[in-house]
Amino acid sequence: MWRLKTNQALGSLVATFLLSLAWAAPCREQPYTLETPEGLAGGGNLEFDGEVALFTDGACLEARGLTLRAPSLRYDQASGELTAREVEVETPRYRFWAEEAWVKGQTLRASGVRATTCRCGEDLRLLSQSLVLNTQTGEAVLEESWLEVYRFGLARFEELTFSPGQSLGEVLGLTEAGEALPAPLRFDFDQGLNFGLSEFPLAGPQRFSTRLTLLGLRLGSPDPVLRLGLSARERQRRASLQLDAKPSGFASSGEVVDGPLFFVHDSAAGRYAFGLRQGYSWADLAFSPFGWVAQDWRDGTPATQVQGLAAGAELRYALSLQEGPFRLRMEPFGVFALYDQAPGYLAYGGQVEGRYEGAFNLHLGYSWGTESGLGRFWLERREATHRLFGGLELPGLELRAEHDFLKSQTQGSLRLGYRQDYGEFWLRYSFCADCVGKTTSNGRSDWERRELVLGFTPSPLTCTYDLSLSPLLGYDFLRQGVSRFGLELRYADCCFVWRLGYQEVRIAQHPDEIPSGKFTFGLEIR
Amino acid sequence: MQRVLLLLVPLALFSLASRFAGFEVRPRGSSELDVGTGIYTLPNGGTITDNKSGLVLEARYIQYKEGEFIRAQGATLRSKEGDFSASSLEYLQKPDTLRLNGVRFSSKEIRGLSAQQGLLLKEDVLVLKGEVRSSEPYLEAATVVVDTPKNQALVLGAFAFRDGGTTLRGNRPDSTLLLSFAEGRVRASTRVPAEILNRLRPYADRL
Repeated sequence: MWRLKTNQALGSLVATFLLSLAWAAPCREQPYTLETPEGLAGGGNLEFDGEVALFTDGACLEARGLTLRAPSLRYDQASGELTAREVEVETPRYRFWAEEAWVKGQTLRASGVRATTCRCGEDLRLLSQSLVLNTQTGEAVLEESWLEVYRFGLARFEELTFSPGQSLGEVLGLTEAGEALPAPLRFDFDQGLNFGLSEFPLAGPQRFSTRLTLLGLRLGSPDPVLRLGLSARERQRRASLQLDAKPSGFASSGEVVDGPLFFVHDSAAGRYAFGLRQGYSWADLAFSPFGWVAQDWRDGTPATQVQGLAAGAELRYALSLQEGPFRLRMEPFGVFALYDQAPGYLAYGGQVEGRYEGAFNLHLGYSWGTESGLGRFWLERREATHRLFGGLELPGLELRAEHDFLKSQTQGSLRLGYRQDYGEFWLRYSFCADCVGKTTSNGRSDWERRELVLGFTPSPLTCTYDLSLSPLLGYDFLRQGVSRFGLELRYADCCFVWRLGYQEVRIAQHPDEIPSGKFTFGLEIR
Repeated sequence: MQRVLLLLVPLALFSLASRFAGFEVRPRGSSELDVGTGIYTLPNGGTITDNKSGLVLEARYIQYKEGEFIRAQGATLRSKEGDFSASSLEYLQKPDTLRLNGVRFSSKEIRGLSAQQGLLLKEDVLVLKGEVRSSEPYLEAATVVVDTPKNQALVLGAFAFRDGGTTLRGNRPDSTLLLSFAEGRVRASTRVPAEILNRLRPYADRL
């Protein structure tokens, strides 16, 4: 009888430990440990009285990428609940503290929670009244939380949901997955001083869905700009407005999208449109009828202004096949538009691309588009193109090339890298053959390019109070001179990586580049 | 973890050893008596049976002196609780002590229990020392002291118990684990009261 009871007690104890999978750290060196297939509990001492198991003197619970530490861990067999006070949890991205934590079933609840991404200290932290963690999926919900930076309260959230692998930027809605955090505070210098808030997040009820821009651009130059912007978005709706005040006058741009309805405008480009576009899809086929009233400056000047109504539709078919490492993607399209004061417009074309992704990556594709008639507005216009493009990627080598049959020009780049533990030395050779005099999509004339850039990209900073330098130097073979140089200093403290850099373009390589120096300042959450 | 308490089972078996006070001997082949010392030698071994308890000692070589000792080599003790064997065994009636080398024990509940040395004392304390192992449940320990009257077992030194997918480990050479059974409950504690440690640890030092 006692054996049965003991079996149940230990079985429940083990089950509870298994349910605590979301927790995890260095528990193995504790004097006493209890290993399970999925996790390990340990402590300086263990007491088990048949009802309650207690790890004490530095207790811990370790599982997939998570570690929980507490002065003691207590399991009550009768209630099936694991409790701990003064809990500390570490994941690769976060550290949590909780005044008290309870584990029951697949759920961990904690109260009095502090969470930070900082490696040391808590200069950036979230304070929360409660945390609910699914111990199976690792997904956690912080309720009634408060974001603090350097003890300065920045925003309050009713509910924040995050997964163990998510960055804080993603959790707060500041960035999409995989993106670096954009610095909301801009401070750099190119043609003048650029200073202010750029896409600064304002807390909403769930996440940062409203952003404010208040920027002074090119301050100190003859053409300074004061920019004021506001944007907000939710699932099916988004709105943004940006006002630029210049000595020459005001300019504005923005969009309002609510389902199929939209209004967009850009006063500097002379573009306005109000209309609707509704998308329908059947398997790989997408059909989008549209209609709008619009204005456009075809070459960017009022001299070519057109106004009127347009109605039409776009049809696209996206075919994707995969067999082992081989992939084939083909997407033909056709679009037509009818106007109130002009003949109709028809454009059709497509893209076909084959890929091999194995020991090396190779892709080759062809893109074409043909126009019939004149597309009046930028919204429905699909510029004619005939391009052949391809690329090859090997460890330490990237080759990309493209030939435009309409412009009869070829451009490409070759990048070679030599990676070490501390970073990567690289060189990139870019060229554009027969480009001189060809017009790019923004209306500017292109020119020939033969540029070699040498650089070093250090490995991401992993230590605190660490520095790294990223230099680069470019040389223009056609114009026989240094084309660009730059240096970026990165410094990691407990919570942030601070970036300070200077880059100067001496010989512009592209119509979009302007020969000038640029001083930059940036900030990333570690 | 709880199954390690099954170590109490062999103790129940050993405690019967004291009943060899009155036993029946069946030599395998000859039986030699040294009339000067009163020692019987069974060079080809034989069987000693305690009819009262049903305990049977079978060995390849046996020496005994009634009222004083039994020595055996290649010995097997059989009882309804399980089979116990030792490469050598010495039972002293005064003090009531059983000393074993190359101990092995198997029962329904515990299989492949072995230790380099074993000692059963009059006060029904069993000591297993030196590479204490069992295969089912999996057990590794340096020393185990079992105190039957007090329903306690003390594990000394690094240990590991595996039960299903769970393994409890004491990772340090000075690890201690006290297992006790009372009122139908098993209690386990790594924090052993000094009085219990001082009482049981000396038993381990006697091997």
